[in-house]
Amino acid sequence: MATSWFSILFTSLAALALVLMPLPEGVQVHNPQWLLLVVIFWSLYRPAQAGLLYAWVAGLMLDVATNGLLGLNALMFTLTAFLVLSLRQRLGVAPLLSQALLVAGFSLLYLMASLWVEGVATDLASMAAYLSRALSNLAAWPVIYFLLSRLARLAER
Amino acid sequence: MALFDTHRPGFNRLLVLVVVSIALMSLDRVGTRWVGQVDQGLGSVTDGIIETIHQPVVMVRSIGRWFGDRNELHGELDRLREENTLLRGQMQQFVSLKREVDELRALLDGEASDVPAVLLARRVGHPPTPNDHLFTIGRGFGDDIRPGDPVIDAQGVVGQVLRSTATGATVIELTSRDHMLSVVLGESGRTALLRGTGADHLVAERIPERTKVRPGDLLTTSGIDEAFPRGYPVARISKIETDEAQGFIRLIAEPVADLSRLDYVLVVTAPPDGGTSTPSGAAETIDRPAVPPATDAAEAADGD
Repeated sequence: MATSWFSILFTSLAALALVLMPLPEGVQVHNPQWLLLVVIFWSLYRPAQAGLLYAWVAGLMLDVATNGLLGLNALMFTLTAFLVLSLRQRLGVAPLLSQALLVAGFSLLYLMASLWVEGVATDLASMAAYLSRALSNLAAWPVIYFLLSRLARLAER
Repeated sequence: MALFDTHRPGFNRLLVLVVVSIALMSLDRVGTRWVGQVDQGLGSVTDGIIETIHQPVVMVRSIGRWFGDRNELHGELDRLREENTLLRGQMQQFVSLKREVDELRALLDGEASDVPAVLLARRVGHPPTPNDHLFTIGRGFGDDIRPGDPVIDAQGVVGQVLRSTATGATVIELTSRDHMLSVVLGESGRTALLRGTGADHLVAERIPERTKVRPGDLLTTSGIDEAFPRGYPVARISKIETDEAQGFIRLIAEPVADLSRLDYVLVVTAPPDGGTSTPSGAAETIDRPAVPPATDAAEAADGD
């Protein structure tokens, strides 16, 4: 149990570091939402340890790190985690591809909601660029899945 | 095992977290103090992460320096030495000029022109928000950096400190949509508010049509906004748009500071005629001189 807590904390911090990594402006938009993916993974596979509160704290850290409105990402992370936890039994056994598609769908909802709240992009092109992060999330989900399930197995051995 | 437990989350917990988030958002929008403290406390962690992931860059750079050409380095050293001598020479002149100005000001309205304390800080990263012009520097609360401190580079004003934590500070650039400062328009002496647009230029709107400004004029800080000390160069006018129906003009200006390639910036930690000393300074100009005559005389005697 203790190792599991440690791995959850460690991977969350690593994901936050990946999100905060300085990238060129053009690439930045397509950086997957690593922290969200990690939160989704742990809610799927370690729901006893990583619950809603964990998702909320992770979102709050993202808010603080990006100097955004405090609580916005926390709210979205909580809602996403709630969605994932309610669909957990169906999602947990689904094949990887459909899992990735569903995760991308969740993040698309997430991005649309945050787009609506922040009101940053007004024209269609920048909106599409903003929402295209869902595609990079789609690509990043298998990576997260393999890395974290390997880590979880290692930690529990 | 774990798969067959439902772990269906409780609605109560969700509702509590949602309400807490919404309360936090509204309190943050209002600007409550303890929310700022939470932000600052947690920001110490995230700024530490930013600082940590910047370390490889520093390492690569220092390794690159190791392999750098020796002659090139010596050339650079000579150039810097020359520049340093030149600057020191100009500085001497500046010190005597400052003394003169102080004397004259003491005669006029009793305002002293202190040289501000500046602090060199390295830029370590930028938060992943596409539209906000923010970056993080490696100096923080421990180095006396406070929210609102002006940030400049060798050419001109860069922006302001937005948040200062134990491990770093976040700076908002003056081109951000959320930033505004008061400037003097060239030699006309008129002040205006210069607004960031989110792009690479700045805009000053609602300038009376008869104001004598030309493209190429330098805009400097006015000191009225109490955020920036007076006289720092901010931007150069690149375009003047007229709105004949309204009788106003609108100025488009490019920042003087090289915002695209910031590596080191200077934080003005003790602004002389803005920030902390201003409330008393405002009273000084009206009633009593700020510089006591005795010290001023001593300084003048020192000068002679």
